[in-house]
Amino acid sequence: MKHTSSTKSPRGIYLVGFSGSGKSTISKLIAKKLQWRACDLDELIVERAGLDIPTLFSREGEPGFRLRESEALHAASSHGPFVIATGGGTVVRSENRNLMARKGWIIFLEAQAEVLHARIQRQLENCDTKAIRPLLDAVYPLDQIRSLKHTRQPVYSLADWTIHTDRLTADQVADEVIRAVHLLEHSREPAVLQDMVGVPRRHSLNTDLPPPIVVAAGAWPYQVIVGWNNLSSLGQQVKRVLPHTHRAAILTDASTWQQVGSTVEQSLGTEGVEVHVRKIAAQESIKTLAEVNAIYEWLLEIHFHRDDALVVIGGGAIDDVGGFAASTYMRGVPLVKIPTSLEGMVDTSIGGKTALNHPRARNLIGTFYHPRLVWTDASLLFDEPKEQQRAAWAEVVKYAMLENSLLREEPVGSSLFSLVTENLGKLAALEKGTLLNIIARCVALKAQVVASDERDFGNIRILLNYGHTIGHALETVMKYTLPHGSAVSIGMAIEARISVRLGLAGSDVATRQNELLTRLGLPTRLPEVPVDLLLAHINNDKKVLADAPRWILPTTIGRATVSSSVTQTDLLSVIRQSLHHD
Amino acid sequence: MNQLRKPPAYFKGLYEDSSFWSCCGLDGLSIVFDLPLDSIRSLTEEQKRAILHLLGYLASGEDCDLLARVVALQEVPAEERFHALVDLSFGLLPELGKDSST
Repeated sequence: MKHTSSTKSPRGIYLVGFSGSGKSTISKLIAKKLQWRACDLDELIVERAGLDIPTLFSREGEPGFRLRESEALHAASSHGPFVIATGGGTVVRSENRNLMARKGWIIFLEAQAEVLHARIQRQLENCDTKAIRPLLDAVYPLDQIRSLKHTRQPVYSLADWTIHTDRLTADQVADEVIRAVHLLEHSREPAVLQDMVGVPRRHSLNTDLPPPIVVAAGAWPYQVIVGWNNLSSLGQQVKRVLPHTHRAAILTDASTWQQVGSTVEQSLGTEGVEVHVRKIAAQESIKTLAEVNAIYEWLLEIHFHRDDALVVIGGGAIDDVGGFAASTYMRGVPLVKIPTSLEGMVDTSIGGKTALNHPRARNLIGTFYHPRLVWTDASLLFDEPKEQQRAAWAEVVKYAMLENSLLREEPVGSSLFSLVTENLGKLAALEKGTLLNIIARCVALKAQVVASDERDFGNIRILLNYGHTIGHALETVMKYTLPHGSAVSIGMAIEARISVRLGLAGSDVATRQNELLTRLGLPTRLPEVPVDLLLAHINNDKKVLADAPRWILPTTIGRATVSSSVTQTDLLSVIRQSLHHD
Repeated sequence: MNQLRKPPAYFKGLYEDSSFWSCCGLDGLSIVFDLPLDSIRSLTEEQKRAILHLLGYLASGEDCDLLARVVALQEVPAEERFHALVDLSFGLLPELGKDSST
């Protein structure tokens, strides 16, 4: 968690925890003892909306409710000191966690599922029919509490302090919270730990390695481990995450398996996991329903069970087709990803999107399906073809151009843009420390976005399309002969120029970005293509909204905005300019 | 579970418990209807909202026939109960699509 160093004025207190942990009651007790303002976030949401929460869910769905929840949290945190009883799901959203970490101390009220169940049972017995709490006395609902609580545990554990409340009265818990806050207020400032949507504990004592990054999205949070020469530890981690797995069905290409096969097989075998391997060609042509069907047949042949792991080793097309197969076989089986390309490591292995091609359109078919584990061995990048790797740096520049907008605040320490700009030599040499740092930064940004806006409903995930409106159109016009990263690089160069033309950004923004792209060996100039064809594809882009494409336009280095105000005249003018000079 | 153990007030109390929904989100439907969490998570957002809408109807107590049908579902296996709830809730949201298959 990020901490401010000031202790001049008391920070607020946020109580987090599962339903029934007593947050509301205890917040009032604490506020009374400290003579601070108490706030129940759920009550505030209802007051602001003029509707009860079930009606909000019914009308606006869960995404709509969570947006209101974030707004209410901002409002409640605006003046202190305060004690806020958050909703049980508030802490799941990373933007909420970041706000709470800035404004106060996050105290987790932990209780065993059985204790929560019993507390709710007592409430059921004590309350009248209007206030009946859910969960009756059957065993099954207790299992549901356990399941739900388990999915929340990784984010609850990010709190500054945990209080186990099982044996304590409400008054005792309140006193414990106050004591904890006093200790925290007077404690030594710890080394800055970046909240990369993740468990801040290091999984090893090796401080050269980034800590695991947890992606809190989908049905379960999962870890992204970024390391170096670490495949021999894969088996242990797979077994920890998937204890019931007895079989690993590995999808990869022949060349990759030759590099890593023996290490992976030994690592999994040591943990008693039986390994089956299917080698497929690492090319776009495999992204078909026919290929997926062949994978289904293979899984049936090897008696793949729904607790076994489908392990995808590779990038791009293998990641897409493997992810789709995992998401659909038996309605979803555990998926483990081992990206081997830079693009996979920084971007495509996180986020959950899978895609297959249809004869009439690329990536038309797909699902959202998250892996259970992403295992990155950055040393594998030495074996990636250089041209492919160079193109992938465009995605890193993209993250650098969006960093502050994605984080919704200033990053701690150097910006990603500065980090890349100042270490080009080290990156070209694939220097371990710098490379791991940059990969981890990108993963953390992507994880944050995915957790905030998994299905691309809001205005966050769409930011990742920066450079892609032009980029996708260019790829189509050039019949996919241009590497994706190169197309995105040109797209960013043009979209930055559009932003300057519209007065949204100073000319230095485009200049600095394009200079960095050039120094990374990436193109910023449009090749000779039919402009009218390019425009037609841009206007057919899937992000078209009411006949106007939604553009992601940078405003400064690190910030971007979504705009539908780009006219055809603006676009044509900049495209023509991009044909002739940088 | 029989009808005496699940009176209309049960559904009303469930539906009106704001902190429960705030905490669990629509995953809470698994607790309300005694269903595996994964089954609820396999549904689309619209299907989950429709089942929540169904719960709202049950909470109002106006539709005795619907109430009786849902109460009877407590006696059947979870998978059957799950599919029945999806079917019962189909069409409750004006914007729901035609295909309710899971």
